[in-house]
Amino acid sequence: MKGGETMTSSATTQNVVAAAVPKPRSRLHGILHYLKRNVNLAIGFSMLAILILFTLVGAFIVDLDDAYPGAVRAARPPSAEHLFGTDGQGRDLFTVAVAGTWVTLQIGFIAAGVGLTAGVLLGFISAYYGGTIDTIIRWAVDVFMTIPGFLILIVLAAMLGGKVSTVGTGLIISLFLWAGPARVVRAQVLSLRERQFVLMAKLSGLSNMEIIIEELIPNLLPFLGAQLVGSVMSAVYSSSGLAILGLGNLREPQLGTTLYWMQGQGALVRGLWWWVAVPVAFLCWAFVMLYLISSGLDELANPRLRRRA
Amino acid sequence: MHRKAFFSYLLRRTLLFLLVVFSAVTINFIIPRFAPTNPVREAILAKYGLTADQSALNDLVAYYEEYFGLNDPLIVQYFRFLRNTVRGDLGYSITQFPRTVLDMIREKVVWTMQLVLPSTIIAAVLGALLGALFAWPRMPKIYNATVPLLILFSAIPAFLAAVALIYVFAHKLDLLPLMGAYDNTFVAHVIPVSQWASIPDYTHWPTLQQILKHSVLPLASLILVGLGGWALGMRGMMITIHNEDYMNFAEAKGLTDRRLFSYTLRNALLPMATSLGLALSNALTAGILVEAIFAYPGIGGLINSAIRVNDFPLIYANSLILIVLLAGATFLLDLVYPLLDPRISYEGR
Amino acid sequence: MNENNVALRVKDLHVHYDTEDGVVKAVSGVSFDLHANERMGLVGESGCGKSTMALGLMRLIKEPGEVVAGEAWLGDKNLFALSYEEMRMARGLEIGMIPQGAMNSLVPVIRVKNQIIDALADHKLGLSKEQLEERALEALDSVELPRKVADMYPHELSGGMKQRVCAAISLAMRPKVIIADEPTSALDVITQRQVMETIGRLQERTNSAVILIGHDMGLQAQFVNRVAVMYAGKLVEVGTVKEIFTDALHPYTQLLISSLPTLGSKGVFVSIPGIAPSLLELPSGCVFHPRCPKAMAICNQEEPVLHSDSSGRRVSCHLYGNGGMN
Repeated sequence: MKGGETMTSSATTQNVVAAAVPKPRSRLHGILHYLKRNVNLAIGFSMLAILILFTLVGAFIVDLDDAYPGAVRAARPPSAEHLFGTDGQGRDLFTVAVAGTWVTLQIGFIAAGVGLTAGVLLGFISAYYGGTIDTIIRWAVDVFMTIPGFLILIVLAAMLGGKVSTVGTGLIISLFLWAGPARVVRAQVLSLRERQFVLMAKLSGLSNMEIIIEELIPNLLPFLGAQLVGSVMSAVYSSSGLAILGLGNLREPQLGTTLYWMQGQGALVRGLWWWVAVPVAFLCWAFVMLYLISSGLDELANPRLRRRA
Repeated sequence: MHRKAFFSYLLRRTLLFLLVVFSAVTINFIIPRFAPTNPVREAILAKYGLTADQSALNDLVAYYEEYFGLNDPLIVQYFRFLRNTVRGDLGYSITQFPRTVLDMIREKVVWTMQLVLPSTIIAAVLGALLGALFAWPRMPKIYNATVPLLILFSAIPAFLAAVALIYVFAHKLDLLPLMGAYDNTFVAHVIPVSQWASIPDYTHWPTLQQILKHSVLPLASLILVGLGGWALGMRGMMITIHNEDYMNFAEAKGLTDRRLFSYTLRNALLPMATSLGLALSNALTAGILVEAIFAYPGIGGLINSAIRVNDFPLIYANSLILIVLLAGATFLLDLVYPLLDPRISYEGR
Repeated sequence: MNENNVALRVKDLHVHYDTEDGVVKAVSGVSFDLHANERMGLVGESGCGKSTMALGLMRLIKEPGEVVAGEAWLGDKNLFALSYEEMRMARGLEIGMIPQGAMNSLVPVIRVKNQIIDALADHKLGLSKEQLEERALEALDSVELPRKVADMYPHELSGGMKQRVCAAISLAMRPKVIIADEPTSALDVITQRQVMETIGRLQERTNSAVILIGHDMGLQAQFVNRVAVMYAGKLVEVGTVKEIFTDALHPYTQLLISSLPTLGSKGVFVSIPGIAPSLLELPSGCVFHPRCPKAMAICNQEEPVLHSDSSGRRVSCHLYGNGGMN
């Protein structure tokens, strides 16, 4: 394909629509109008808002000690006193949900944040300096993307025992989240580097740093947004996966760990369905919400009707 | 025509494969060495308890450390490790000593393959077909209603779907078994492959029946979760291609709807096929967790039980084997794709 | 011109796009006659509606566009009254298209030979497999491409070769009307000439009528008999090549012609002042009046009607009101 710009004959539609000049509108109106069209993003953000609200409000109502074994009577079904019931080891599941969701979100964002930052930096360095550094980083990216990180995480987590803190877990998981962003950023920087506006910026005498900040970063934002959400999804997946194998922090309440206990204690056989339902429901909510946001951001970055200036 | 380019592509892919395996092996070597716990001591303590004679225990630990070569300099250990790995000697299981890890893996690999391979293929084929149908130009709009369902299933990890399925089908409806590979009271016919290991005898009908019955839910969780991705991806691809210039010209030529669909499909297949490697990789990690949930006797189940008893060599070796298998599969797939697409050039891959 | 020799008669075609910003009137009331064996050029600025009109005729307009009014008589059939299947059969067989040179018009994963054969086969011509293969090879012969091209994939061909394949496909079915939408726009001058010559030769052999859409006036002058000028979705003038180039009637056409650089003329280039109007809100009265150097009071109140005289000359301008043309 030449230069990435292929005239499609839905270009006729483009030309026609472009020839019609739209009226300007206020910023807020614009955002709301867009959300109306980008359903996925709208629903995803609403779900996120609800989840955050739940965690915040919940943190105020509950006594966090109830999330530990032996705090309350065990194996009680949901009732007015225990909204989500209690598990077989005496934890109040509502409290576990509040605390666990918070922990899961924390791990997710720490892992994604660190991974993304590292990835972006390495991607930039790789693309900007080229040469041996580029080759090394590129091969590292290839290797890290081929090896299923989760398998190594299992090994790492098993070695560290159940003593890793929330932050620690996040950092470990971030080891496998840098490769994706690095590859994307590198590709984008390389392609942007050749584009006209960077050449123009160079001609007008901007320094490298200025070019990066003012020209490259704004163009990378949509991709970075998508990468961030994707990384959070991956991090939540990894952390709950590890937890369910019993490799999470067994002492702290976490959604995945609850599943581990539930499995080991035969929750289903004992008929304690709420023990299963609570972590599953919350995790599903988290995943669907992240997926919708990510697909919404995808739509934002590459709109179906490609509008060109 | 592109012989030279293909050669360099082959070289790069092989290099990647070797590098991946090498990195995995090295990582698997390094990590345990930095563990705060001494696996040998831990295992012996676990087996014999703290109440036993301490000095005798210490002697035992020292003996095994010597036996496993844990007292030699790191470099020596490393090369021994490499040499052993290449030879296929992955060490002994601490808890099931003197069984070797390789032996245990050999037995379980079959079960994992039983889950991962069929589920990936079925999800891909069914999902792609479903996705393609969505994009049929004059399809009734009702089908669009299934999209949210697909989204729901593709967003959640397989193990969550597994739990949900167990609850509905095994617990509530009691239609399918809860866990394991065979019913508790069933004695399966097996083919021994070594002193301790055996694989199921698929030719024995009752055994096969049991296996199938117990595989339904695990397979279903993996397939359901994979379906959405393929379907949505394929639909997107079909739509993109449908808007391409050449499809517009094809329509202008007066081709039938069927022909247009076939053209679109053929153009969409190859880009979609390149996702197979990734899908396999995801299915493997998902499969491990699904096996854990179902107490399925595959590698995932092995890892799960190994973790609970702190049998480190088993954990590391399993991880390594899976990585190597996956790298191998990706390597093979990467070689096959270019042969299928008349357009792909081998530079810049 | 002989009335009975009309290959395509377009009456009052209107194509609208229903966008969120309003209704875009891409084509507003275009009418013309295309005679058998005739070459007609359709020129105008980008976005004036020429391509849209072509797609509209072939009934290939996609959402949110729609042909809201008009008739297109191909022989005794109104294209817009045909069923989906009838129109599909008509495409390619009776009215064909040679796509823009800039587009990638050939399906990447299918061999050239099959792309020709499939087009023929889908029109129920009752040919056997061997006959279809032979027709495909003959099609390649007719555009002077070596027969071995048949087994190649599109990406193995150069731009000019691909365009010639497109021409071969379109003309293999001998349609009565061919719409060539800027067929040479992405090609270099030499290849341009080759492709245009090929199209010309084929047209003479198949006796098809051709509508050549473009904005390269020089190319038009060398190829067509008559020229139709479009502006902002409307047809403003139709005439023979000579008449348009030497004696343009409509002010827009005059400005268009005078803006063409000629050999030996140096200095300031004349361009048309102002910019093309938004198709969402067309100016009142005559669409060109805001930029017209000869605008009169009536021009922004009343829309001029397309006047034709006996020789087929048409112009839509208040300067040439009721009856007289000069």
